[in-house]
Amino acid sequence: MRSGLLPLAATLVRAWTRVYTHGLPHAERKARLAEIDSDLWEFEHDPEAPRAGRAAAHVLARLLSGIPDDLAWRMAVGATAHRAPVSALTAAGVVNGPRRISAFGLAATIHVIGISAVMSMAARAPLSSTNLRKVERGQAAIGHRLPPNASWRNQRVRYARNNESVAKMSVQSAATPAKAGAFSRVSAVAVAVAVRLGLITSPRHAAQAASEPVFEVASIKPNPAGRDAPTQQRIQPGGRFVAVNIPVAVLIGAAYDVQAYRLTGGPQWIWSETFDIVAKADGELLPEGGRRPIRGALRGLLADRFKLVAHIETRQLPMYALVLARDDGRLGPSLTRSLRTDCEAVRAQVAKEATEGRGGPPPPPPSGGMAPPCGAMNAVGTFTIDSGTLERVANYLSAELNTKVADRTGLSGLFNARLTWTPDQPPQGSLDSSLPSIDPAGPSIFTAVKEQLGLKLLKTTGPVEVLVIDRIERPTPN
Amino acid sequence: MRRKPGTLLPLETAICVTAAALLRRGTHEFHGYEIAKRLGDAADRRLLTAYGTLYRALGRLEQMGLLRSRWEDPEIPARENRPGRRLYTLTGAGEAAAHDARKLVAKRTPRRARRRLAPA
Repeated sequence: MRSGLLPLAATLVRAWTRVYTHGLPHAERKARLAEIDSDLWEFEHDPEAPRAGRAAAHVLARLLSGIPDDLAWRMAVGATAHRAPVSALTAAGVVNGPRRISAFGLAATIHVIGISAVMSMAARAPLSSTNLRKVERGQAAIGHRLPPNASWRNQRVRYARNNESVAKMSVQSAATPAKAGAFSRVSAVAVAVAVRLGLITSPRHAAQAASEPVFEVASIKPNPAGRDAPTQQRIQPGGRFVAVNIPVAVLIGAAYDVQAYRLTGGPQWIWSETFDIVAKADGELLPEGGRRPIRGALRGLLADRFKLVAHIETRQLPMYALVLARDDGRLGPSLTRSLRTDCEAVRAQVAKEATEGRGGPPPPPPSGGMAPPCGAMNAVGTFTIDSGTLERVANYLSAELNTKVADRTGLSGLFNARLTWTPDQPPQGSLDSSLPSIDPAGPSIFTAVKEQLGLKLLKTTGPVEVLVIDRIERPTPN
Repeated sequence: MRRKPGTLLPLETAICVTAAALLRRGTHEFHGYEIAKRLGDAADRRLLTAYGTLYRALGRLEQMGLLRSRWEDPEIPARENRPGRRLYTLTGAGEAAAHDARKLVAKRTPRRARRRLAPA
């Protein structure tokens, strides 16, 4: 194993943690992800920890042997978070059956593949008990044939030359699948069994099972107006999705739920060129009881028509930590605890009203820069949040600063927040008269956060999930 | 592993005992990796406790009131350019549990017969 395997193993651990914490209450998920991240960092920087390939094997072993506990923990936390019957939650879309099954299937498959990999390694280098003890002590099985100063690489080369069967085995593994050994056979059987039992589902099948919409037809035309003209996205009755003058980058952000700063790679035109898109889904997008999520449909559209290939990875990037500014923990005058404890009822009422009144014009936004109940309002140089978590405040700051802002205040619950600052680049043209005017001598966003919210933004570096665009093409003709 | 009511699992007991040992050496707070390493050293195992097993056990001990946790001041990891640590502290109940566990182990381990010198 090469030393580059350790980051790969760490990425696997993080990915698995994201899988089994998916859909859990945000605080639980965030805490578990942060704790695992800290553990991995400590291990990587521990001078006494194993190095190189052994480090990666160590991390993988810790991952694999802990999977049953991860799943048990997830079920316990999930049960605490959602005390309603599972069937009711499934009907409401809170618990997604295929997702739970997929997580279990993934865990089972990882286990079987991991065990078969170990079997395969054992089959490639059969060792006597004496040699096994030498290996355990960190010596190569044929170490006695080599000079004491031989490097690890030389030992491997000599071992391959001296042991013909090992060399043959590696060629067979790559070139002749029929003789690939225990690993391939067991993996193939594991995947086949998992698929047969329905433990693993493809994204398309999972989306269908969860009744996510799919776009049946789509018209995409370049819009010559460019970035200076306004952009619009609308969902209309009859399963229509309409986007006017939209850059592909914005569409990708909506499809993968990532803000602009988390989007990397890809050509410049995804930001500069804009398109008009009219797409029709296989069913109503605004059915009774709420709106169907269209992220899956947007991803399908991007893959089909823009040939988008992207992947998510975690990178260490500059970011901000949102922390309390004062030692005594007092908050600023524009950040107060909300009297509401639950916004679900309010959101359900809003969704019901939207459904009953669908087809008509959308309700006008609240005037004077006020946020709707349990909602938010933002404009240039200001945002107002009604009954939101501090994480939501951090998200608004992320969008403004175009950098990740992590809530590290340690405060939970709902807050009312209102922030007003002077942007570095004030907008050109007229603003909505109902919004507060921008004071050119006003504070910067950093000063405003400190003075108005009683919080501060600390520069730091941390893990940020970014969406890397591997490939994208201009859309195919309609 | 099935738990008898009112008892701790071996890993939970080991965490309490190790945390109590750290406390005696003046370390009041520890993070997940640190306790995993100490547990590995104590049991003379190279492989540390699995991620899922360790953090599930720490969570259970916190729920039982034997441990308390807090996230460290974000200024510290920001300064040291590393992820923030969740720091655990052994509570009074945790110390008592560790004490009971040590007593139980001492009771179960038979005392070695004192060697007598052979007569000259």
